[in-house]
Amino acid sequence: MAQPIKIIKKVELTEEQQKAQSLESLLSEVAQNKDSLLDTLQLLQELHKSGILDAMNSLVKAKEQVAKIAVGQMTREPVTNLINNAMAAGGALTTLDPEMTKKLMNGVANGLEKAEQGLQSNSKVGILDLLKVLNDPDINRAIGFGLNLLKGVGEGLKD
Amino acid sequence: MSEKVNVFINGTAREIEAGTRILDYLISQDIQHPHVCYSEILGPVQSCDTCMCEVNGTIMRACSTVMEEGMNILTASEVAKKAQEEAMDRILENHLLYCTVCDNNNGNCRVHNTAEMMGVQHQTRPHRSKGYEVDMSHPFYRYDPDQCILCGRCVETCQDLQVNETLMIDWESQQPRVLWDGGKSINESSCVSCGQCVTVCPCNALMEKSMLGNAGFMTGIEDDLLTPMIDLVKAVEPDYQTIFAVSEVEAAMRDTRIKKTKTVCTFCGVGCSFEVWTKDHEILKIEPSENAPVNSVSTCVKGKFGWDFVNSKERITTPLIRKGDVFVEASWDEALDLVAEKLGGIKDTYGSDALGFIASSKITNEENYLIQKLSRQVFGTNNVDNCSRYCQSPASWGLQQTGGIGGDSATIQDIAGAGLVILVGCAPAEGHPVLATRIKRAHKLHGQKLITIDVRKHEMADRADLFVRPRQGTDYVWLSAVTKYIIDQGWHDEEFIQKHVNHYDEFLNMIAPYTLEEAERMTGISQEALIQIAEMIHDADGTAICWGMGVTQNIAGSHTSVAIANLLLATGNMMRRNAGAFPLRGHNNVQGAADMGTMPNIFPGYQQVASDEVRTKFEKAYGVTLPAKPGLDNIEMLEAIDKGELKGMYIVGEDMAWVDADSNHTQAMLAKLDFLVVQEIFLTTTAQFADVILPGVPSLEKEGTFTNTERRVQRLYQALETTGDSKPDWWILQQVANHMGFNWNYTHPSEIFSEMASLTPFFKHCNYNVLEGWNSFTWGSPDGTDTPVLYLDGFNFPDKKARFGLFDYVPPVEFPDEFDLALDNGRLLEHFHEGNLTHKSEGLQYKFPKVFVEVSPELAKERGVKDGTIVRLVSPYGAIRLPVLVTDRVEGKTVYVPMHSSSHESAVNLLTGGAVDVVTHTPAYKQTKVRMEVLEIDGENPLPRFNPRNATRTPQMGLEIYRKWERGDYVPISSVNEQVKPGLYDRRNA
Repeated sequence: MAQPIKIIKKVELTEEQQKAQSLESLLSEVAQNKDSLLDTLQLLQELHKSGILDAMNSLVKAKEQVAKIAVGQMTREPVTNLINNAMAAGGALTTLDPEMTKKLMNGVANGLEKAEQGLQSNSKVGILDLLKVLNDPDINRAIGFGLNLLKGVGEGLKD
Repeated sequence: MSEKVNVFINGTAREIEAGTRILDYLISQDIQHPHVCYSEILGPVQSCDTCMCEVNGTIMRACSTVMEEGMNILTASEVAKKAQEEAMDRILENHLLYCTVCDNNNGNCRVHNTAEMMGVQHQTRPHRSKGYEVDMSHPFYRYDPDQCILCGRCVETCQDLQVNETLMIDWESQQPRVLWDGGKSINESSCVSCGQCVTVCPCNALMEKSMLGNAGFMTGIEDDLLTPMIDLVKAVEPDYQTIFAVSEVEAAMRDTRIKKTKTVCTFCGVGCSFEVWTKDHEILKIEPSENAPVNSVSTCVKGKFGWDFVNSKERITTPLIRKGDVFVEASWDEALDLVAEKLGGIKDTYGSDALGFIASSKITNEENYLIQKLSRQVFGTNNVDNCSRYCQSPASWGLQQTGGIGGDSATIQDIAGAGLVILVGCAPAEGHPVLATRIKRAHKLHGQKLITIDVRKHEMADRADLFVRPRQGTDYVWLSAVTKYIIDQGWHDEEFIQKHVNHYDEFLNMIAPYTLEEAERMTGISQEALIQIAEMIHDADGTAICWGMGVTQNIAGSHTSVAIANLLLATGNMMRRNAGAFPLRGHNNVQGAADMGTMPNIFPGYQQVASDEVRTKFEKAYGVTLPAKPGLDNIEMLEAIDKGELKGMYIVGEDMAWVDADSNHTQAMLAKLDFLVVQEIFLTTTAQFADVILPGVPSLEKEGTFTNTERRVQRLYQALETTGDSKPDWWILQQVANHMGFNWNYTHPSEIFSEMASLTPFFKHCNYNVLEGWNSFTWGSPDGTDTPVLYLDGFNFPDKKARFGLFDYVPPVEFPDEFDLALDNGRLLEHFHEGNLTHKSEGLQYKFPKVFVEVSPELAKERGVKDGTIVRLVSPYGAIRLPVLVTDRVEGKTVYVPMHSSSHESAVNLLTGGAVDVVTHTPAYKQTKVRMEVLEIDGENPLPRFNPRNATRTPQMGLEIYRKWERGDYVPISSVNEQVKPGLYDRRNA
């Protein structure tokens, strides 16, 4: 006659046995991963020597606090404005045609050179000179560019 | 050839099948097009407005517009894109994109994916709160109104797919939201926790609580950090493509640690398949898929939320050996050596037939196959059986007699497609919930008729066109009378009978006595009702009859199952789609256990052990001589123990102590055994009698296949590592065989399946490749091909003709007068079987903490009992003590006790017993009478206030999207807003 049993007697490992079991499984892992472990140890040594490890430890320990401070800082209006500006500027730049930018930059460099030469000659510019140079094709192109640029900026400001 | 129409899509001429909707076509051609609310299952919900196209110059929804000749469709014209963007803007007003810290950011969020695909950069309407609290009241899921985009997929699903009719959107209110029963908390509503609303939610408004704070790398962050982080994202207003990119990186990271594994549900025989999402050994959620062949996105509360038992601390995780009055942990070698020594010793001393093997309807086909092999090859006995003996053996037998195959004659789609469904002695909304949804949907949307015949008025009775309560155990009589009446009226299918059915004349003689008058007298069903049943069968295009334990757990269970088949044969409701015989299998692998030959008289595939030819085949394969005489079934094994002939038993995954009738007797017999091995995952009452307990694993920790009620074989994949030192059950069986000196050498269940299929004609063309992923195989042809609908090429007899079964009525057993109440019993939605698994779920226990006895209002009045009164029920076999629940679900002197208890105080099978089915020995659980003694008048209502049975459903036809369009502030996007009738595009028979 088998009476029903509701009790399970667990095999209770002593502390020593548990330790031995843990060490055994750890050792077998170590043996299987010798090379990577040695590399890691070296890296850790370097990090320790330089004090980075110590700093990281503290940072990780305080991670909740640090995150809250960081996010708190970032939600301040000047910072969100900064991020928004940076993102807006970044966004604006991405819409420019790189070829055009290159041309413009070349033009500006060339213009600076000419201006430097003009400064050197130290000659006075009169009204007539201004009207005269409008016929110069290079200057005319630059003024046309400037006027159109102003028109575009104006349109952009309208929205 | 179906009709074609010619259209232009984005300038390209295309010829398309007439009647196709634009979106369906785009999806079929892999043309990317935005859509959020549409689902191939639900049809066009028409709420999100993101799928707009330009059609002949006007704006139209792609989801609901049927393509017509000459249509010019532009999916991405400026007009179309502007409309789509306007729609998405309205959605994002309702939904905050904090994807990276959202638990739904798992690569399958529809709102996220659609917005990203549309290239949404910014929104013009800022997100705003709806002003409602998050509803956290329910144990399994939560609703966050502020994330809800009001697409109404959940409403459409609850109203018209699950058809529990709880959810709605209050379109007329200032700020609409999803409501439960018109405004209750989720927990107090009529919600049955099927979880389908959560599954279909296209964002994170409805989430499984098990996912919250668990799925993402940053979603577990406390609120005081999370809120500022979300605020930061809002303040910074990055363009959304940046948000999407970051969240996608995070989703990809999640993918490396969340494992998604396809599995098959184990809580009933419907065979739902879905993915289980796990993180290490933690179950994050069940994720259904439209790819699942049986259930698609549907689940019930147990399948969606009932898996806590897998990680229960009570799991047995190491072999246990009985020593004195305790079990002591042992190594596998110690335990297996002892099993081999003791069972081998009994075999040597008393002979092979002193041993008995019980397989399980919960374990896999492969494991069932090995149990019959272990019993026959290793131990030399046919004493092997499984628990279908307790439930559906009579149905299988009845169908074998008439059509030749003991299984459902067609699929769940054919039940949905039938013109008339008759439920006899089964309550699918409780026991087979997903199958019930298909009937409820067809009934609500497609004009399907429903007759429910049951002693208890369950949900499907509430919904039926005709509900009839027969006298217990008299179904044979009304079935025969209705058949006779149909033939008398000339409404039978004479041509079908002449061509395909034998024994017609003998059958006519046999049913001659069953006139309407006689049937009324015997069953208590009025003649008008009987005529109405006959007329409804006559009027229907296809009648499907589903039946359950209310038929089979009677002494006439087998003969009544034959009477059902006879009715279907007489009316030509076999050999066709959308009709047929459907015994609803109660467990995930009831069908499979029998298919695999864990029965005393058959090898796998119903091949008779008595046949010399068959036995020779198996002897050759197994390399031993096999016994020719059929063995003992469950019931006979217990008798043999009593007589001292059976000395040792091996029981796998079956809590026989509680599921066999007359539990006191069963347990006394288990105690009498010389040696008992139990393979289990918990220390069940059966296991408490064991000498050795071998720890098996639940379905999530192994591979294999299950066969559902449709005869559909589906694979399950290993989702979790085995727990502790427990092992897959097939591995354990192999070890037992090998400790007995055999050399089984299976390295994977696929090899076991191949061996089985090589010996079993029905499975000839089935293997693990055929079953890969979501694929499945329905056995049922002698040539071993996939056969969703049986008998289309003839019945499974040599002359291909069916046979009217000629078996007489057997009236129910009589009880002494002192037992004046009829005891009905069975299962209810929240729990499975005796509760060993589902009682481990905190949420299920919260909703349904304990069993009770349902008492009719009239009986309650007569006996002076009320909700919570403690009574004792006494039968000739035993007594139980439990609280009363007064309900009109039962009538007069019938009481009902759910079977979900494994307690010596309240387990119903302490009361059942004695009588068995005349053919298959299935216990007549339903033929039990009791008397009731009142113990304490005042007590606590056993059904919690927040159990859905206490709430009232709020039916409506789907989402009723037109109410949104009627709002004064609704600005239409589409040129046409016309509601599509719910269910119109249901492709149930496609």
